[in-house]
Amino acid sequence: MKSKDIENLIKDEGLKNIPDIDIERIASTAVLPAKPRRVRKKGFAVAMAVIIAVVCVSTLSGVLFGTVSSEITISVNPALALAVTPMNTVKSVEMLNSDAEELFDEKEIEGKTVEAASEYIVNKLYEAGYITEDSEITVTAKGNNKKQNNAICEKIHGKANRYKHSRSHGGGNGN
Amino acid sequence: MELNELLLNLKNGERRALVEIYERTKRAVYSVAYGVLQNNAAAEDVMQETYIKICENIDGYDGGKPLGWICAIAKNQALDIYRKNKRLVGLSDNGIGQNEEDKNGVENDILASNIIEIARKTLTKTEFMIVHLHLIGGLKHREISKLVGKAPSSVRWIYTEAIKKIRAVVDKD
Repeated sequence: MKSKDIENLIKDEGLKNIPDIDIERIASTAVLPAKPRRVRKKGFAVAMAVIIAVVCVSTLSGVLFGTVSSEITISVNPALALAVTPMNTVKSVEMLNSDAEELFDEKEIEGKTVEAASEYIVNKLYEAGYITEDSEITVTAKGNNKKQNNAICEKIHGKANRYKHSRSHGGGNGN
Repeated sequence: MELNELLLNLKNGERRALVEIYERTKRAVYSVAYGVLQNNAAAEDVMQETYIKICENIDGYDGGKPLGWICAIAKNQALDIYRKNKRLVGLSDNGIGQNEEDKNGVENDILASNIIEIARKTLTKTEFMIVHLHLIGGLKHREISKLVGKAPSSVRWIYTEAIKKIRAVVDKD
């Protein structure tokens, strides 16, 4: 008998012996691990929609550095108010609720340019899961210096949208 | 659909994927179990436990070599049963159904019921496992080498020699 015949005999005989188990029952009753929860949905699944309301109140005497020319209020669920000088620097920040106190560090915002501060704020919102691909982002502005207000609003809106886009593509932090 | 995709589907909670996984891997799982235990009823138990364990541990599957991952689970299940039985009945390391000494008398055992039985009685445990995994499990020598902890070239050589041994017994008979 040739080696090939031996191999075929073993294979044929062995395949006949394979038992059939009740895989349908196992498939329907076996314990599958629980799926991991998505990041920080909190109680506001609907309000995964991020609403950013920016209220800018310009003052007439806002020419000097250090003088507040705009007051910007950003409200998502964490809410905070920024006092901005005509030089686009954040003079002070006020946390308007406990979520904001928990999430943001005043030292990271005060003294920074509006651009750097909004970068930090949007980054923090993104990391905490407040900005998702299905979030609705609304930015509104009020105030006398419309040019400055619009520019600030556009910056925040633009950054938030980039983060949203990066999350929907499974990317990093939108930079 | 590839086997790794089926496992990832199972990981995503699609239970029906297990049925297809079973159809594609039952030969290999059975062969691993039988190779270790050399007992059909015990191999059947291992098969059941293996597919249950696949479900329980599916989170640990990272998308890599799917058959290797499944066979490793089967091997662990088989070894668990083997160790338990060994403690109970004091068998040697050569398998539940066989001791190394049995080989000496095999040439006289012309009443072996079938070719598998001849192989089981003729070969060492490692030789038998390699032959079984290759012919019945459908595994490649490279895949077997990982399961038995030997180089692929050694596996190929052991396999060839094992077939020669069986052939010699059959021809003599």
